[in-house]
Amino acid sequence: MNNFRKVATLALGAAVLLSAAGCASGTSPTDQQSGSDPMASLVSAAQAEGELTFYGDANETSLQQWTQGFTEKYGIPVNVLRMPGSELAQRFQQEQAAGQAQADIFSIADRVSMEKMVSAGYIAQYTPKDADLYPADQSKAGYYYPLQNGYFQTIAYNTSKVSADDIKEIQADPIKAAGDPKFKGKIGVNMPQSSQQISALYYDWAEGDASSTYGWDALAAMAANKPLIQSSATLVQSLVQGEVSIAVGITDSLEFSYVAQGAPIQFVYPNPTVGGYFSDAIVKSAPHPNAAKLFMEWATTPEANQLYTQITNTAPVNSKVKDERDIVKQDWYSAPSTDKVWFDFINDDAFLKASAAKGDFLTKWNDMFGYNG
Amino acid sequence: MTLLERPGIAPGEPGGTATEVVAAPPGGARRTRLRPPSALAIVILLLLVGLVAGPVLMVFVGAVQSEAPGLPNNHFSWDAVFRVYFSGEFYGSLLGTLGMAIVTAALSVVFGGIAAWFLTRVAVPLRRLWEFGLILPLFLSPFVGALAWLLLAAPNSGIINVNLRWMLNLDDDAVLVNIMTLPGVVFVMLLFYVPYAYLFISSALRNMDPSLEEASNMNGRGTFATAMRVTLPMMRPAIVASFFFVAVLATGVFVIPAVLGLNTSFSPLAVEVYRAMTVFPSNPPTAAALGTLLFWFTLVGVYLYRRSVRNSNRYVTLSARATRPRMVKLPVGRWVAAAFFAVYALLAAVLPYLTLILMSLTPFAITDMRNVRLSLDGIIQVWKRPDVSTAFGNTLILGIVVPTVVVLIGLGISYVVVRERGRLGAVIDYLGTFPIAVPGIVFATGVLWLYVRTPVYATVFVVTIALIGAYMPQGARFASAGLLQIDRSLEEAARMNGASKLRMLFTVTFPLLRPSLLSAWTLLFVFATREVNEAVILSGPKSRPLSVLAWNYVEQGSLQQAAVVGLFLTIVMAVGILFARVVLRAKLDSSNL
Repeated sequence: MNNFRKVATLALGAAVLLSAAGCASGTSPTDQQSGSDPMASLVSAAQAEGELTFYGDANETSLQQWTQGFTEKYGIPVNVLRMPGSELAQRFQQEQAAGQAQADIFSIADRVSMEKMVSAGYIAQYTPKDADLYPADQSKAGYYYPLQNGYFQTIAYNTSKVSADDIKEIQADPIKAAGDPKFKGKIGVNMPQSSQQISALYYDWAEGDASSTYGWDALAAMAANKPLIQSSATLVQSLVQGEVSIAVGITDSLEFSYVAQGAPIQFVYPNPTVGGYFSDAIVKSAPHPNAAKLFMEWATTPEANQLYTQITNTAPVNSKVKDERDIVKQDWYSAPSTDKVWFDFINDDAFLKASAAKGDFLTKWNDMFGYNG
Repeated sequence: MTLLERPGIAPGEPGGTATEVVAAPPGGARRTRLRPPSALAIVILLLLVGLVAGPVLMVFVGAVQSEAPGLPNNHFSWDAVFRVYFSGEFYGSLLGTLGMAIVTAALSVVFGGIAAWFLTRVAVPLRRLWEFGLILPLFLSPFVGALAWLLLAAPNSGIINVNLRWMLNLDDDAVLVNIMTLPGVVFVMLLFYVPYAYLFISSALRNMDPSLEEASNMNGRGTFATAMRVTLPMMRPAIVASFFFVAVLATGVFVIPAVLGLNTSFSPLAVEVYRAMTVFPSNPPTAAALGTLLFWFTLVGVYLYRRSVRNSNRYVTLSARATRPRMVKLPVGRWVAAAFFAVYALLAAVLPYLTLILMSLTPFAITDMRNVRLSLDGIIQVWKRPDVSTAFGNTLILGIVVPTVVVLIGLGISYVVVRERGRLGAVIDYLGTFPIAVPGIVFATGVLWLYVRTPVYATVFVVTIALIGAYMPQGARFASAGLLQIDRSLEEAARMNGASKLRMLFTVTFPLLRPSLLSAWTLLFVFATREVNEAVILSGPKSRPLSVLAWNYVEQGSLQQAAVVGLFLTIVMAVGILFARVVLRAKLDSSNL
């Protein structure tokens, strides 16, 4: 009954939207002229296609469980192809350029890559009926929407390895705390070479907006603590098992599941930090175009965003979803205030120049930390 | 060059004649006696062109583009090549990588050689068990193996340190073992490379003519002197060959120091290749150009390797007569050796596997055994995934098809190279060894560029093709080693009696080679089941094998699930090896390689 009501609501909404938009994009559910229910015919057309292929770079478990929600509702199995973002973007471009129609939905954390796909003409125009529930500045209206929430860089600590006072100190100013000499030999850092985002995080502190507060001195203090230098997946492991007490530069989405399972870790969003949102879109050459549209309709609903939030513990983006995560009730946790997050590093010329192969930023970081990557 | 038209016997068609055009160097009357290429050689050449030369060529093409080949705004450009070869940016990486490869290879050969001598010449108790323990690390990917060691022996939080502290009432910061040091990292690296050296050297030791050692012994030389002055010189080709083989493989060893947090004084080339592919903004031409940079050095390695293998004809006993090496009597030493091997097997196989089991049963890393909570959640979660059965199926397809095809083509390659020789033989030998010279991630990208416009794209078939190409060197090497041991007079007898070459191959060569081919098959089965670098790049949503699932779990930090899939993989391998052993009567040890 409940499902029926949901479908009916969706259908009504879609109908309203269609008449309002005048079907300008030409990708709307079919049969509107005949007066039959467009949503119902979209559902049956999608079910007739029988499956959906989802390309994404979010984590494997989240994607599997989330798309499973779609399968449970409409009986359409979803094939997930999960790859690291950069390889996914390369592969998707290769396929599109070669006329290989494989992907129905394309989802990626890096917004520049998504923009590239839109301007290359690989992304279909489609406006799901719940589109306006998503922040406009993280969407491209009619193309892609941030359906899989955001991700932000943190400084994390192992609660079994630090004292209550230490926690207070880290919570107050994690960037300074990581440079406190009492943590000598107990900190771990992610290297800026491991992703552009980590690079931007260090850059923001050393040379960017926060350089007057922190500057290279703050990094020099961290370096003086002789940190263990590892990339994120290994660093989070070292933190959880207690090899290091503090770790700089781990994405929150990596940490949420450990917290939920009771691992002794907590984390803080440094001020400033860097972050981004996943964007989801329909592929123009989708081999299952109706299933893709139906998926977008489903994925934009508050229910679907609620499900994604529940699976990943990330903050919900859909304006109708209340943030009821357990973690919000923890006194050590405060959500990142988005006005203090640097999203736009991918368009910052000074940063791009400094962090490029010929720039001096990575060399300086390496010299300071005694790293040779 | 002059072209001569001459009639000749076309191999493969006994008794028939055909006119063939052969290239003859000017004035080289004697050279014209070179046999024309056989039909087998041509078929093998064509296969290698498709499986190996195509992807490798695509890598070279990709290196001189502005973007990945096939993209709309791509054009010809020397930028990537210039940056990699002439800007100086990567010279440090190159030298460091070569140095690390050479040191790793040298140490692997020393330890593998000593282990091989003890296990073939001394009646060490429980020899079969120790040999298995020595080879077992090959079942684990080096990445998972390194993670297991991080959990076991990290200085502050490793299982060994944490638990011995409370058991022995030590200080909280007492460090008993520390794997995150240079010796620790070298130790873990050797676990993964000693088995190769061991397999090469011990098979040569087993097949060596024992009469020389006996003569030395009868003339009053002691065990040590005989080993150093007779056995060691006889083993030179096998040692040199395994040295180059390991050195080439070890250029990709970076993952172990990276996981163990060892800050090497350089950034390994393989890391640079990986970053060029995976860090935004990715730069496939640079990755391809880096791939070609390694290629030239590997080419030199292959040349030297070929020389040493060629010379080995003079050293290895070729008769079909079984040889039984003289056993050295070390009444005390054999027990000391057994104790050493037991410790080694404990460190190399038992502890990492126990750690893997523990990882799969705990939601996150808990190293203090007093606090461990065990649960089956991870296993259940992985098992309930909708695509786990597909992944099992794909792993089985790869595990069966790849080693079978590689062994068959490898047999063809080795026949042409060892028995027919000639120029085409050399070309085939080089082609068959090329894939080892190109980093897996780059080779797979070459395969992707080559096949993206074909209907087989994104199917398990493409992954299969890539792995067949990638493992061709191993297949050819194992088959040649076996073939060198077979007296060719047996084959000649078949030919004299009128059998066609194909018939001879199937009725004489193949049955005689069966044990070594089955051993090669088993080892390649392990490799194909475990492989991840290439499968990640090439598999589609329905063609992902288990190894790719495990890798994705590691990437998202879910070690429990990664360990579960790692155990599934080990079960697949164990079943496969058991099948090979019981049904096909193949053994995964060195005696047949």
